[in-house]
Amino acid sequence: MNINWFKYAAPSSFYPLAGKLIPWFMGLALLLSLLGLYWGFFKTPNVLTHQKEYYRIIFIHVPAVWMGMWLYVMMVFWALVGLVFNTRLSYMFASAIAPTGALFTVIGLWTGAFWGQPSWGTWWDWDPRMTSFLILLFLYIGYMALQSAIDDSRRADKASAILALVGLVMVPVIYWSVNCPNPAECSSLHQESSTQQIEPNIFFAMMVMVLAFWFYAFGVVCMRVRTLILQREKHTQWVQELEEVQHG
Amino acid sequence: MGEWPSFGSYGFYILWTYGLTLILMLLEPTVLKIQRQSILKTVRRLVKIRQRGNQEAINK
Repeated sequence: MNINWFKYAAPSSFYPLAGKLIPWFMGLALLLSLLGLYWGFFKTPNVLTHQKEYYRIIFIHVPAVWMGMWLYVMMVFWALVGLVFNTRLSYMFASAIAPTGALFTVIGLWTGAFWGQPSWGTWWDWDPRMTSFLILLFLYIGYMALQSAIDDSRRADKASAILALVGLVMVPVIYWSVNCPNPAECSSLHQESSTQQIEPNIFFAMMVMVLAFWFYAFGVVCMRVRTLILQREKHTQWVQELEEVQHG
Repeated sequence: MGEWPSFGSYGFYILWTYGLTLILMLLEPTVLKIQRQSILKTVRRLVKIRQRGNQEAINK
């Protein structure tokens, strides 16, 4: 089968395709969330090494933190594609990813606080991982603020794309903040990433939740891209001839 | 189905974690749906204005 992928670079071609994909993405997100939570609550032990029942926050916290970082990389990827090829849809993708990335970053910080209190005895600490992750949230907010501060959407897209590109430096900083080459040099409340040592059922539930969050992100980003397309192309004939406009 | 897990004395932390995540993750698509409906209304208004303009041009 020969698919012309460039065809979908046009908003008019992508809009109906996204509409068809959204129910699949959201359905998969729901099913995987139910499976992940079932596995996480019913098939796992009550204690994880020295941590008690509260460790179950892991099934939301770790996937949300990973999504916060990965979505930032995705956002930069689309912003870069937009800068290089000057395609409208790529910029729309970058803009659509930012609020979802910020949402996962907030969830990561929030759940981190609720995990930190029972395990470390504090809601917040200026630990390298937490601080760098908070800066990531500010980058998302800065990206969205810059975009809404400039009236001309093309100029706003370019300016915010450059900001996102500069901010990419934070992603390896967040990673290295716990996987420090010399642990004596960076004191952190967080322990080093250790997915190999984790109990298999806990690991499985966590990975299922990661997949669920990915599908949720795909679904929501597609929804937001469709909204952005309508907003930016409302004066075009193809938007005014859409079925939902004609028969609304 | 397995036994309902014990939260010990940590139910507060677990419920706040899952509760807020659920609220935020339901809120996002709901807000997007509302936003989309509002934009569709704007587009419909634009279509009406255009059609009225065309009709006036024909009547002239």
